[in-house]
Amino acid sequence: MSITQLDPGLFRGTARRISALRQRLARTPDPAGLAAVLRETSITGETSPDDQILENIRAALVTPVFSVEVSNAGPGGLHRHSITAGANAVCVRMSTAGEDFADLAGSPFPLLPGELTRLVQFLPGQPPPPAATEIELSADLIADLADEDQSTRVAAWARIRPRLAEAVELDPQDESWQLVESRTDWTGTDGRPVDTLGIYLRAGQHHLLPVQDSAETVRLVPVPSIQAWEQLVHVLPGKDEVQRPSS
Amino acid sequence: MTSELTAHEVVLPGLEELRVEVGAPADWEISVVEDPPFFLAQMPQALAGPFADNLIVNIERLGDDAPADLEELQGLIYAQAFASVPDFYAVDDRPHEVDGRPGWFRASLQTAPPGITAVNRQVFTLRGDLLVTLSLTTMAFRDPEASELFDALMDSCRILSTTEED
Repeated sequence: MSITQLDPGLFRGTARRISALRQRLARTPDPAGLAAVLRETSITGETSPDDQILENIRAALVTPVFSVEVSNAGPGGLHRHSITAGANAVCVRMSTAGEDFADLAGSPFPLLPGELTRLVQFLPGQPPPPAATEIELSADLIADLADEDQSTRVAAWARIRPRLAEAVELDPQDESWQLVESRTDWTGTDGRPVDTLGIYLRAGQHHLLPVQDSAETVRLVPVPSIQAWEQLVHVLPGKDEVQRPSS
Repeated sequence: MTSELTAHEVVLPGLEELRVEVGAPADWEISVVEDPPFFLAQMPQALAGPFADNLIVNIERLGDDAPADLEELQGLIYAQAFASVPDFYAVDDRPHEVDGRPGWFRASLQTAPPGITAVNRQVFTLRGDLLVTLSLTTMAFRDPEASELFDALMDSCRILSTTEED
């Protein structure tokens, strides 16, 4: 299966091929190398070494400022998004849903928070009732919600859902859930590596934040949906927190 | 973004029966825009970068055809925003007390000029036939600070009527 350019700057193929294209572009230090990349990579659809969007993607990948890894696990799938923010204010996203489906896409850096929100299809939810209680679960059970294996995720949810029903009123008609993990890595202005992590769980229309008190247990705290959204986006570095590639 | 707030008193022409007291960051620029009137506090350009975070306080007299129920009214406002705000995306939408009285809170994203994700945190509350709206719009990359600022603004907010006992 070859790579298809669906729209300008949006490439789709298998995870292996898309990953290879991304790595090849990241190893292409000069725009003049794009012609060779296109020759080596079988891409259907109109592509040209003079394509400015493709050049922006290449330039971003060779000058990474920070990277964001997002996983979005649910009963129907596990989607992973790997985003590189380049010094040219372009973000390059590689999204995978299993081995057979992957995208490589470029987008403007200033729209990254909105892109993250749409990627995970964030939903506004119901606020927790005043008497909402926290529930304590085994950390392994929460980890299983993000397992590659669907049956493991589904089995974990079957054990977690009754416990959640103790804390919030779950709609019996709404079986949807998602566990979203957002992690960002960059080099701080002092030269040290920095990483940030945000996680939220959505159960139907309720959002909960995991708080890990020990290696064995996690408390799930019901929160308004804005606090879950903040987990997703507040991992991004602020102004003047990142060492630029040239410094 | 500063955490130090300066108190402001908002009274709009023709709507003097209501006074809104609210804090705004001490270094933000303040103005009252006319026609329609609203209070605007805005991050100075020297600090703002590509987008100037801002607080808008609006007081509006509702017409006879407007819903008297706040939940129904904000539903109409939601629909208008969905239809008119570029890339509108709600991330929270729920009842929320404003100065101790029933109100509504909505947080949403939009694509704001010059092509950035902005976050809008709004509260709505009714005082008689007057709809009071406080709207904090900030660049999403500054959201950790904006989240704290919004909480501080809400703590500082007082809505005072000159025609009823509060």
